[in-house]
Amino acid sequence: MSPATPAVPEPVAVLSDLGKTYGEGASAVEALRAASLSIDRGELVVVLGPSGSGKTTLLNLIGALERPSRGTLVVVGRELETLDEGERTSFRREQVGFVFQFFNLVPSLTALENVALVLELTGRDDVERRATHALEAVGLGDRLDHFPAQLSGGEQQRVAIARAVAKDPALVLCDEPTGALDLETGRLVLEELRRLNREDGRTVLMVTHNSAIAAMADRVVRMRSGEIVAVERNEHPVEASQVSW
Amino acid sequence: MVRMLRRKLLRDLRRQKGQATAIAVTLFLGAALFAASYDAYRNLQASYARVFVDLRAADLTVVGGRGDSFGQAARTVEGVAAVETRTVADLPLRIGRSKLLGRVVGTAPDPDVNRLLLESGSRSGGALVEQHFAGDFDLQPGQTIEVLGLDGWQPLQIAGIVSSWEYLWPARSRQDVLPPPRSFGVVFVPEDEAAILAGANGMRETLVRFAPHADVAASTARFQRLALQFDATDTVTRADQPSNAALQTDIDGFRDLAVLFPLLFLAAAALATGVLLSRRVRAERSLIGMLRASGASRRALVAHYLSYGLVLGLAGGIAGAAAGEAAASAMTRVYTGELGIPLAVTQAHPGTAAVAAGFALAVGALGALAPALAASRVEPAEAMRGTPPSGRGGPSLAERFVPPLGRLPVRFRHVLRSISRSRRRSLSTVLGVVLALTLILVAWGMLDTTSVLLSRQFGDVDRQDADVRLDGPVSAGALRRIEAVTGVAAAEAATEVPVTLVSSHDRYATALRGFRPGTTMHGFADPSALERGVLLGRASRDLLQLGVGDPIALRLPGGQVDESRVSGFVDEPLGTYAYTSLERLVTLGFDPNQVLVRFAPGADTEATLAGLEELPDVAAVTDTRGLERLFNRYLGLFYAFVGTMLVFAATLAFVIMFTSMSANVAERSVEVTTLRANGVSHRQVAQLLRAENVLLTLAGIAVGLPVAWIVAREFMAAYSSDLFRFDLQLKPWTPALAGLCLVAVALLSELPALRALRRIDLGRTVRERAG
Repeated sequence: MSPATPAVPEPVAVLSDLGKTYGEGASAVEALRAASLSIDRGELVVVLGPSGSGKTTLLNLIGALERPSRGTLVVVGRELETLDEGERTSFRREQVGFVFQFFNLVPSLTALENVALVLELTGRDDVERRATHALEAVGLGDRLDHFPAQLSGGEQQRVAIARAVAKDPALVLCDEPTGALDLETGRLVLEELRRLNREDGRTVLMVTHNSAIAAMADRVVRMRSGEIVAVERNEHPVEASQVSW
Repeated sequence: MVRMLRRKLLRDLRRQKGQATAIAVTLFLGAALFAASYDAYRNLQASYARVFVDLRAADLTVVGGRGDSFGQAARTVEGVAAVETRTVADLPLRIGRSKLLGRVVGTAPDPDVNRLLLESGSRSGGALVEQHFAGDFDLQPGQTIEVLGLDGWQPLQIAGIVSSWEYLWPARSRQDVLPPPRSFGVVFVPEDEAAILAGANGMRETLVRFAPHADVAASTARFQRLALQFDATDTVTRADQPSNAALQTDIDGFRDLAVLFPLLFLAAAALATGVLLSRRVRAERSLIGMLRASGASRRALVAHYLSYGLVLGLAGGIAGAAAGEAAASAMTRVYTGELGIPLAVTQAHPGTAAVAAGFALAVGALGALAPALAASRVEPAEAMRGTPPSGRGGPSLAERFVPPLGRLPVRFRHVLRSISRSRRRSLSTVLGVVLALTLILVAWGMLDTTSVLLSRQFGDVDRQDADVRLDGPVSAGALRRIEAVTGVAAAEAATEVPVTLVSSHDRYATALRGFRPGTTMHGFADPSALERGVLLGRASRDLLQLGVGDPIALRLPGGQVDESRVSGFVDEPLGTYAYTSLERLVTLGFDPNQVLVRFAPGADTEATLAGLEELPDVAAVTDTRGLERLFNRYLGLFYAFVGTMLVFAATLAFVIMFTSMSANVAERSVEVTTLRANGVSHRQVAQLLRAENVLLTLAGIAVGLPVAWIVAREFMAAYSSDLFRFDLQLKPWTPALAGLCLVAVALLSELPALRALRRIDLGRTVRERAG
């Protein structure tokens, strides 16, 4: 298996002096300070930091869920701070897939329907085929008609991954994707994300407080107290199956 | 800990002030409606009771028979407090140019039974005019009216205006409980004068009042047996007396409303409390787990969550009971004022207020009970993991019943299944709609029923425009003179005589009306039945337990008994008359005594009535359409009533749906965030939620229509007797409009929740979920 990263790095996301402050006056909290970073197409980047370090805020900003308070943010060629609400929704629809820690599946819909719902609502055609394909790709071809309660945690997270990638986004943003899983199940999910990155050439940005996961990243962004304190290139990323915590 | 929980409770209520206020307002309305209407009902009952005591109302009135000798015999019966005899005659009256049906009642100067309450003027020196009659014609003491006695029109000087318990509602008879305005008047004159005016037309009545502690049922039975021995034609108990029976039916309906409407509000409040608190318990699972892990007892948790309902119940209940108590006096005054009931009793009943507040408190607690128990059952270890247990999933109920629905696009399946995700909440919403629909259809049903039945009575049944009584027999010449009056299209002779129908099971006093078989003045499904025997009203069929072809005895004036057969039954909204052919009554010695008149299309009603009154041999003219016109004149008031009920129903439905939708959005913020994060627009998410809400509303309407119809039918049935037949009538558009109103309320009630949806901070939800 060879990485699908292009020979010439092409930035997917460029952050310059990005800052985010919540609240005002005395109660203001600066969650992100002067963050500058460039993420290339096809990279698997892990943002590492303790709780409250600003990593989820960074993810939310890149995914256009929140607006920056300062600085510029260009993702897939779009200056996100200039987009209105409708354009941001459109941006997320076309360019971003989200994977959350707690899967956030609709309990009353089957695995296939969970994936299909987002495809349908985001106006994709050939919904059933795409959803089936996405689920088969994450190894759940035999679980299409299972409801979330009938799936293990790892399977549920893989449904969430299928949901995120089925609409073919440029960027997959994962917020603590293994946070609610045990080691074995977590590894399966990491393997899936790695496969998406390597085989499909998707750019994956994963935030976690689990430092062990950093070993599989192309690059590791370390954060503390709202600041990027280090960006390290991992010359020899390990396979997901070798990650242990 | 307990003090802190109390603080938490108050702050939680402050944070959810929209929902908490909505529930408290519903409880307030329930308690206020109950306190106001039930107290008003008690005041009305007390007012009637006071009238009966103060005016020494007869317990039994014996009609006909050998009056004076019966009176003497009656005085010797055990349990009798007082006996009076009097003459009563239905004689035409004339005020200026108006001629109307009148009743002259003989009275002693200071009777021991059936006293009169003097409203104005003097008791002596002339006739005493009943207050409704005086009001219709603006009669004052000192004025003169005329009565058609044996010697023609006789002047009667008015000495005073009086109220009589027998005419609190001016009913002419059980068959004519709603005489049109200005068509009937009662005059009380000294007994000897009444006897002279009435001559042979007079009816002797014996009025009996029982001793305070007498066994009324046993005494009544004894008297009824005695009355038969003295050839009496009828015995009328106080409950059966026409005015009293009509008012009691009305007041019983009022009592039913006083219970039914508050019940709907309190039920809605219980549902809304349950929805609000279930949401809170679910949201606070981790906290509950922590409290349990820290040693909080199950009982403490039950008490804490129960206290939400108790606080809301207490706030709404106390305020509602106080407001209701204040409104009860006003309601009593309006009601007694409108009906002209003297000696009105207006007093506060702290017991009713306490019950109202207690109901609200109990309802608050009841609504909170299930969520509170659910909170106490939370397992600490599981709850502290933070993830609420996810639903089991599966096709929706609709998909199971209609499998093709399972092939709908996923977003539609999502809507269907979301409804079954929180079954209790969905059920609450559906029940809320059912309650609101019931409220609307009960109120609207009253309007439609009255409107449709009056239209049937005055369109299909009574086809005449006026009823003319002559001072002598109806001759061919009199008929021609009436037909010649400008505006008259047709005139037809008819007969009406008092009768007691006797079957092997029971007896029933009514009026027997004679029509020619080809009559155009009265609608009969089978006019030929008039010639085959006697047609009976539905109420007498039930009472006398008769079927078509059964024998029936007719006790007629003068003691004559005619054996006949039942030839059929009629279904008429007002009264329970018996019908036969005009010829049969003539054969029995009863010549036609009335002329039924129909006006030409476009005729001037007032001028035609005046033209009839000007005929010299006309003794009384009744404008038959007057009642219908009166109803139409008051239609605005009816619409105001229905409008008020619509507002109440809308409030009720709004509270449930608003609470439910708010809980729905709050509970699904993560799901909404996930969809929004993946590029689904706010509008699309709103549409999904709106579709759920509208579907639930439609389900509520589908379930509610039959339920509301049954409740409305039963409610109207409470007004039905032999006096009126109020079978529920709903115009075709009424259920549709009621449903549309509720859909509009549903769309309105979701606005705050959809605004909250827009306010969901996607980033914050993700951050908080991420810990």
